[in-house]
Amino acid sequence: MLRESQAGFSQHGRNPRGLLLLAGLLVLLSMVNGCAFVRGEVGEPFPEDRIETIEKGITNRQEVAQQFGAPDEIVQANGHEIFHYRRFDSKLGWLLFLSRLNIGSDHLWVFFNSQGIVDDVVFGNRTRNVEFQIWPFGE
Amino acid sequence: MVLVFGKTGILGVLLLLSLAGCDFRRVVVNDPLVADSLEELVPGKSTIQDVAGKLGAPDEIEEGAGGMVFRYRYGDSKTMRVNFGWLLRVMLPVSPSMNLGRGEGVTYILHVALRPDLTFDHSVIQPPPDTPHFWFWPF
Repeated sequence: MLRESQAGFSQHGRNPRGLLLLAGLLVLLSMVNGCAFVRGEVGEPFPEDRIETIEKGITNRQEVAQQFGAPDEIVQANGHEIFHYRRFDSKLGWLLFLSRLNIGSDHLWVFFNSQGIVDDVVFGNRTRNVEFQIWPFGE
Repeated sequence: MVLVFGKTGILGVLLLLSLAGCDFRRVVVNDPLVADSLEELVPGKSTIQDVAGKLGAPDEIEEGAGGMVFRYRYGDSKTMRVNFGWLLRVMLPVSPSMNLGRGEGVTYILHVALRPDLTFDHSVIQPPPDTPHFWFWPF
């Protein structure tokens, strides 16, 4: 009787062993975490062609503010007024139990002399090196 | 279940579950600081642009003794967590959270001092006492 019922079960394509395996896999999948790729940006990118419009000895404070807006910070150092603009970019890679968050920052520093004319410009772009990575070990 | 998966399968499932109950997280801020790149800078001659060409724009600028200081930062933190309650999912319908975790973070700081005429003066790198490690034991 039991054999008959088992045979009937298989004939209809319902192998209990297969179903059990499938159920086990589903339970297993529901227990493990998934994956995620998340990106966060703070501030607008600095277009390099716009930075090139800043000319030493010519561009004034007002023109810089028109191009880039109000600075995030104004620093006074060594007789210079310095406008500081910042941007941050972060990329998170997460797979199961491994994750890595890389954060990079761009900084634009515009130095003004006592007349409010640009004396120097320092720009660094580190956000272009920020990558999605999952492996947290090593470098 | 043992018949379906076999002993190796069961062990594999347990291993996977135990792995899913722990996680490794890393957060990296900016690029590593390479002090060797400053060797070509000449005190009194190299300019702000030479410094920026080697290291990029600084994260901070401060008034220094008779000049200014560029400050660069690189951060690295590692966190590991193990949820021992996760293993109970095999035997119980609920999994109480029993976490042990630890995080270690370090910041490397590089100071570049500039003279009043904004030429390079000297640099100081502050390496942390130890690099961060993954470990879950918080006590």
